[in-house]
Order: sequence, then C-alpha cells, then structure tokens
Amino acid sequence: MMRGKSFIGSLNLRVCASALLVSSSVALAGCGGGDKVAMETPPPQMRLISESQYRHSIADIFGDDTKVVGWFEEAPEVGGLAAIGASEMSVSSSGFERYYALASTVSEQVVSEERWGRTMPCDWALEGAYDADCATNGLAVVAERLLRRPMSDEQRTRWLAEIEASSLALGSFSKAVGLAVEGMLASPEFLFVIDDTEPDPKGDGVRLSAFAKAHRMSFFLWNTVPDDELLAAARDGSLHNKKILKAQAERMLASEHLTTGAEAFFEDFLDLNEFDLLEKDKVIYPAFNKRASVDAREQMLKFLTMQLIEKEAAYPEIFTAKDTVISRPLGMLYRVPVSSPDGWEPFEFAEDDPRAGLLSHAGFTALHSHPGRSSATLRGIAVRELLLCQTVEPAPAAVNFTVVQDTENPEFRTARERLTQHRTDDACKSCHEFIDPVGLALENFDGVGTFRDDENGAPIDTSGDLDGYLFETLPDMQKSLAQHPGVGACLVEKVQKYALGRAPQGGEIAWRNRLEKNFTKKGQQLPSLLKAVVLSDEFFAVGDPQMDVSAQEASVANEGGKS
Amino acid sequence: MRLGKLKLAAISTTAIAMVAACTQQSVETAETSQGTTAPAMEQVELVKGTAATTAADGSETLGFAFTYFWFSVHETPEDCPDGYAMALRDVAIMHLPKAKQTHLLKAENRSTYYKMGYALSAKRMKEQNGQSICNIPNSYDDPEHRVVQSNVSYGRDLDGVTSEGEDDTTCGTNDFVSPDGVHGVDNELYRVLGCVDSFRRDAEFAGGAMEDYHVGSYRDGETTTLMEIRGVDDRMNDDDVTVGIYSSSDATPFDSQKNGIGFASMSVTDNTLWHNEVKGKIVDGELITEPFDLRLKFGWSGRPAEYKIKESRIHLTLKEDGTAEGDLAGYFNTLEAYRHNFHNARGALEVANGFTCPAAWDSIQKYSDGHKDPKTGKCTTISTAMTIQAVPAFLIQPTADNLTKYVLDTTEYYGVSLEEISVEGADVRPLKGAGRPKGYKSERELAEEAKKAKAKKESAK
Repeated sequence: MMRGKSFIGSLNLRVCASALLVSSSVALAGCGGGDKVAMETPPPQMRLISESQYRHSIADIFGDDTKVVGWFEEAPEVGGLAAIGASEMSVSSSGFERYYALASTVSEQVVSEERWGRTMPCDWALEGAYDADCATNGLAVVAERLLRRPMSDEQRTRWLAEIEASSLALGSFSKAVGLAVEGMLASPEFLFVIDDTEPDPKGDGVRLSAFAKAHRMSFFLWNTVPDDELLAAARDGSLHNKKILKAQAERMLASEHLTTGAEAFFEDFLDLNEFDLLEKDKVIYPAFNKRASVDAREQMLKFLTMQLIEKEAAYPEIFTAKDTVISRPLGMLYRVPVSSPDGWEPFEFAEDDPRAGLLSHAGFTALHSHPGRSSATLRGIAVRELLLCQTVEPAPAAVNFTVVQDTENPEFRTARERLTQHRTDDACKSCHEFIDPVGLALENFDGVGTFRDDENGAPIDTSGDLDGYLFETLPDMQKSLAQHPGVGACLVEKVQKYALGRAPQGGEIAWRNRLEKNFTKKGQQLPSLLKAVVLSDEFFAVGDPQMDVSAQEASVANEGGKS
Repeated sequence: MRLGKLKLAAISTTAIAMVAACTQQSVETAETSQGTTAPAMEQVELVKGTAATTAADGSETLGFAFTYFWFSVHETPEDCPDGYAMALRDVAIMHLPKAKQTHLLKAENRSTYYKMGYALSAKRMKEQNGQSICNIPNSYDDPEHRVVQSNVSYGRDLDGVTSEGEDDTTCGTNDFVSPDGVHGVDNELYRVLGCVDSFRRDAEFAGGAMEDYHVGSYRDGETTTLMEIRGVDDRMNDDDVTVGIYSSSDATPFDSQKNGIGFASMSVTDNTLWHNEVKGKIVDGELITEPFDLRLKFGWSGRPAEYKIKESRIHLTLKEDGTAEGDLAGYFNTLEAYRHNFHNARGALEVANGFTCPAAWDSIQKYSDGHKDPKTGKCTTISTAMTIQAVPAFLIQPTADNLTKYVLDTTEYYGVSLEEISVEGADVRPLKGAGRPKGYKSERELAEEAKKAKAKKESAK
C-alpha cells in the first residue's frame, strides 16, 4: 500500500510533532503547492479533520460519554467552504500543542479503570506489568480505527515495543497503553484524513485504498469514522466492488447518522460557524441572549435536516416551507407561545403569516445583521454568495456609510430610504443595486429576526427584483428565490466541493454538470444528490502524488524531520 | 393616560407583531376609574406588540408576566415625625447613656452599632432555645412600632366607608386620603410599613432595601406571577372578560437594565392553590376585576411566604405596546402580611432593616382593619395597595391531568401546627431550602428519621 503522504508513526510526542509538521508541509506541496500541472485526476489529499469530526470520531470509537475539552484549529473558509480550507491548511505549533493536550485528556479517560474494558481485552491494573497478548489484541482494534488503516507488521512491532518499554519505565501497563492511545490521537493519521492509494489492478495508475474509500464515504455522509460494517468491507477489500459499495452507500444514506453528516454540510454551506462570533446589543435586543443564539443556529440545522433529509423535500422548498421547530428562547424572538419548557417542539407559521422558509428563521436574519440593527446589504450578500454562489465585490475604500448607519435620521426612517440615499454615490450604486433588493425584502425582520411591519413608524417596502424575478412582498421574494435556477445549481456546486475538499478540476466540471442535471431531473432531493456523488467514480478518483517526497521521508527517517 | 381606540385585529400567534405601533411613553400618574390615583412609576421598557393568542371563538387571550409587584408607597417628610421604627439595633442601645448612643449612631461607628443589634438578636434566640423570635413575637415587649402619622397614601376605598377611628367594623382605624384628595383610602399596611427605614426609599440606612429584596425575588426567578385575560373581544371596552392570576416556577426574563423582557413562554404552576380566576371588564383600556381572594406563591431568599389577599381587585391599564401597569388593592391576611414583610428566621432583618418582630406583630394586629372575627373581636386582615408592572408573556397552562394541590410544610419554619397550614384536599409537601442552613434538619424531620431508624432496627430483630 502506498501513502498519498508520508508519515512514520511514533509514540513519542517530539517525534510525532515533527513528523506531523513535515507530513503536513508535504501535503500542501502535493495538493497544489507545486507545479501547476494540468491534471485530469487530482493527486491525493490530506484534510485536517474538523472539530465536529474529531468529536464524533472520539464518541464513536470510545463512547459518547468521552469528554473532549479543548480548542481546535479552525480551517479557513476557502471558496466558500471550510472543507476546502481543511485541505489547504497545516497545523501550527501552538495548534499541535492543543491537539496533543486533547489527546492526553482523551487517552486518560480511555485507560481509566472504569473504561479500560471497553478497549482492552484484559483486566485493568494501575501497576500491572506488560501484557503482550492484551496489548497485541487491544492495539489491533484501536489502531485500525484511530489510524484509519490496518497496521503493517513493522508498525505493530514498533508500537508494541514502545508500549513494553513504557510499561517498564512507568511500572504501569495501563499508563503505557494510555501513551500509545495519546500518540495515535496526536498522529497525522488521526488528525488528517489522508488519501492512501494502492496500485489500480485495472491499469497503470493508482486508486484509493479500501480504507481510504470507507473513510471518504463516512466523513462525507456521516461526518465521522466508518462503522464496523463499513470497516469490514474495507478490511476484506470488498468495498472495491461496485455492488458492495452501492449497497454500503445506500445503507449509509438510510442511516440516522445521515442527519449528522447533513448538518455538518449545512454548517459549512451556510457558514454557521459565524455564530461563534455573533454579538448583539443587549440593550436593543435583550431577548437575544446566548441561549437564543445557540438555538437560532440549531433551529436552522434542524429545519434543514427535517425538510431535506427526513421529509426529502425538494430543495427549493426550504425557501417556502411553513413548518419548522422552535424552542422557548426563540419563541421570544418570534413572539409565539412555546409549550415545551425545555427542548424543541414542532411549529408552523400560519398560512396568512408572511414568514416561511430558511430566510424567515431568526438565525439567518440575525447572523446577517449588525449588532444593533438589521442590514439589507449583509443579508443581500448572504443570499447572493451563500445561496446563489454568486460573487459580490468588496466595498470600495473610503465609502461614506454615515447615512446608512444613522437609523434615527428622521429624513431616512427605513433601510430602503437610507440605502437609496447611499446609492447616490456612483461608487456604491452598481453593487448595491445587485445586493440590496433581496436584503430589503428581509427588512421585515429586525436585527435579531423579530418580525416588524415598520421601521421608525414608516411602513417597510419589501418590493424589488431578483435577477428578473419581480416581487412585492416577503413571501413573493421567497417564492422567487425558490424558483431561481441558481439555488439548485449552487447547492450542487457546494456539495461537490464539500465532497472533494477542493474546487473541481478538469473533468470534474463535467461531473458537476451531470450531477446538476440529475439533481433537477430527480426532483432536487438532497439524499439523491448525495447518493449520486458517492456512487460517482469521480468521488473516489485519485492520481499519483505530484511531487517527489523522498527527501522529506528520508529526513524524517534519519533525522526526525530536522533538516 | 388613555389609549387610542384599538381595533381588534384578527390576531393569531403568527401575526402578533402586526398589532399597534410602538411609541415610547413615559409612565405617569394613572387616573383610575374610582378617581383615586396609583403611584407614578419608573419608566418601563416598552415592548412592541402584545402577547396575544386567539381562542376558538375568535376572542383574544392576553398574557402578562409581572415584573414589579410591590406596595404602593407615597413618601412625604411628614410621615414619621417621631423618627423611623426602631430596629433591634436601636433596642440594643436604647438604655445606654445618651452620649454613648450619639457616639454609636455616628457613621464611623455604625459597625459597632449593628454588632450590638446582632448580639441582642443572638441573646434572645439563646434565651428561646434557638427559636426564631419572629415565631414567638409575644416573648418580648419592645417599644411600640412607629407608624405613619400623615394621612396621605395611595390606595383604594375598599369598603365604601371613610373610617375615622370609631368604625367598629374596621377595628377603629383611620382611612387615608389619596394624594389627589379622595377620602376613604384603605391602606393600613402602608401605615405599618411606612416608617420602617428599609421600606422607604428616602432612608439613609437601608433605604429601598425591602423593595429591592421583594422585586429582586422576581428578577431572581424566586417569585413569578403570571396573568391572563381571556375572552377579550375589544381591548378598549369589554364588559365580560375572565382574568387568571397564577404563580409559576419559570423565571421571568429581565435584561441587564432590570427591565422585564416580553414575549417569553411561561408555564403556569400545577398547584391549583396558586390559581386565581375572576371575572372582570375592560373600560377605556383599563382592566377592572371583581373582588376576589388571591393566593399566590411568594418568597425571597428562601422565605416561604405567600400572597393571601382577600377581596383583591385589580386595576390594570393595558398599554398599546403590550405592557400593562396598575394596582392591586385588597385585604392582606394579617398573619401572612407579617410573614411576608417582617418574618426572618435568624433575626438579621430585625437588626438591619428597621423593625423588631415583637413590635411589628403588635402593630400589624393593631392596624388590621378588615374581616373582623366576631369571636375574638379582632380584625384578621389589613388593607393594602400594591403596584403592578407587567410585560407581555405567553402563558402555558398545565394539562388537567397534571394539576395538583399542595401546601408547603412551613410548620417548622413558622413554628405552627400542621392543622394551621392545612388546606382541604391539599397535600403537604416538604419545604426545600427555605432560609435554613445547608444540612439543617428540623426537629420534626429528626424525629421522623429517628422513628424510621427505630422501626428498621426492630424489623431487623
């Protein structure tokens, strides 16, 4: 088996850290830092796992009662997705320290007396001596899941030797196993999803290993590591069989874990990590507290998974659907009664209520607002960029925002009046004409998403046009957006990028066109789109590494990566 | 203040915000239907819209959460010509030479002055085997509690009579005159409270403390009072509405400026003992209820008191922005009023907050003016007036199968018998964390534990 990127596993923190840094830099080189060669089949990748993937992985491997407390490196958004950023980033020194601290806290729990039996097939003892059978059998299971590939005999021998040496040094077998788990958790194999390749028996090139395929599928559909059944298919190589792969894909799509995977996509798609930085003026919006903020984010995810996964509704329906879920903190923003004192309950906007769909959710309008006021411009940009995959040019320098920001000017009582005045500046006009109409239709929502008919006593005019679709009211605009061909195309574009972890290249553009055509033809249902992606050859396609990394491998092998 | 005519919109839970424009209004003295006045209140945070839901018959239900519920206090310099009521700290030094008293009353010696009060409190409790002196107020004969001497007060004429000290049915009390000159105002509880320094806002020591404690219990979520007006066909004038007033264990939300936040969904308590329902009407935007007997949960810092106010009547102005303000007037059960305002388990309030339980108990009985017991010849209730401020809220009623009825076991806390607190058909539930130290067990609880242990031991034999 060949590795897309080089790594030599180690129990030792220092060795491990340097190896990580070396292999990460190699990954960057391999992923596009080298010569710009026109590639039909892109090279293997390394993707840093996200915080949610880390948490789900730990829960699935060691139990969901395992505490994961710490800070994570956050992937930058590239091309509108953090999933792409994760393919293009390394881990900083301080970031690795945090990952190492996380590994320590997790491993301490794993080898604690109460949890030992979940992982290791022998009795726990604080000061027990090295147990070769126990170490061999326990390590085989844990390593395969943490390192995401079976260990070679050489690797196994090294890990066992380290455990035995540590047992002697520490006088504790359990502590030695803890160090091994810690080392694996801090290794690049765990922190990065690495495309392992192997010779393709059907030709001269390479293909993803069965384990790499399993993990690519699992992280894409479930946002976590494969379950036992998928691992078994990887272990015996049957996952290379298209029928088996299809059966596994269908099983995964039917699983309740699909919700977890879909939520991860929606988080990235709508850039919901911005909620972490969301602040509102407590005097102006006292009801928008931390709980409301957390629930607003969760409500959007629950709404989307309910519509698109559970109900398998056509994608455009997310802009017009009346049913959602609600919690008490959000009830204060929507100004509706909520029975359940804790948690969520179904909620449906009345037919005569102008509110409907994703854009009427407090999370959307609050996220794309200023701390103390709404923002037609930010909301317009959000619709254009997030939902239509269009590009909005940044504001030119030295723009005078005085009129827009003064919400108490009696001459310009509504956002429309203020922005109309702002657009008299030619430097601003063209962009705002592109951005504002959709945002102005959302002016029925204040800075935290509470519905209003007027602003400063003046009625709110929501009319406008969206790429030729004329609308008068908020519901009209929502319907216009649902009918806009760009929304479906944008979803397909984002799903494909999310699956690949990079922008499509070469023939992958044609693949996207095919996905889009198929998506439209089959009723614009997200599960069908996900299935089409997973069953596409392009999803698993991989080419040879584009760079010679032998020098780096030699450096790691001979000098611990110091040269 | 009067509201403009509001057409009742076809309001559903989804069109609430379509009602009424929001205009910032200062809260001024509100003229009431009887010509008396309610006090001017601080400006409230206005919240647009109303927490209204529509019933099957098309009528509206308006919900509210109280954010302020405290006595209507009209302070003037003439109220207490002899000084404020004596606290235990004053009792502790009153026999000292005048020069020494003067020395202790200086600001720089305040700590010693208070410590002497605490020492007296500890001494008294020791003398009474650790019992709260407030449970046995007749044990000491403190100097008479000073009361309000002026004749001006907020409140309402509850009995239609202007009493001038010779009315037998009101136990010889004197009615007040309202600040705008209306006679016959019944508010004797104010007379008793009005010279307690901590009940007043203008006192140098502890001024405003009790108001903060009581209103703070709403902000802290210890006390929550909800109100619902059902069957509203016209928010300005409706001659037949039903009003429900309830306790809740949900905390009323407040912002960082101590203003209530509107539109929370809040669950009504399952304890029907704290459910109150009464008929009422809306006249020119003011809700006026018929008299009813109110019983609600109350507590601050763990005190298990209750509002028990007979012949309560509520006047509440329903504001255009969904908030409401007004007053509740009625006859507070004398014993409960004493517990509500004076009782404290360890005597700290008696030192720091301007009264002693023995004197306050005598005074509150002396000025009780309602519901005379023909057997004892004593009045059993005392007239009061309380100010209400409320924000819109959605009330979530318990389902019928979740309803229950219980009283809290305050026997040990107040040193009374089970019979005295019992209510027909109501369970007795243990009091949890009501102002007692962690790990503290009452004598009854200790006796029960000993009894169980003995039974277990015998069973083992």
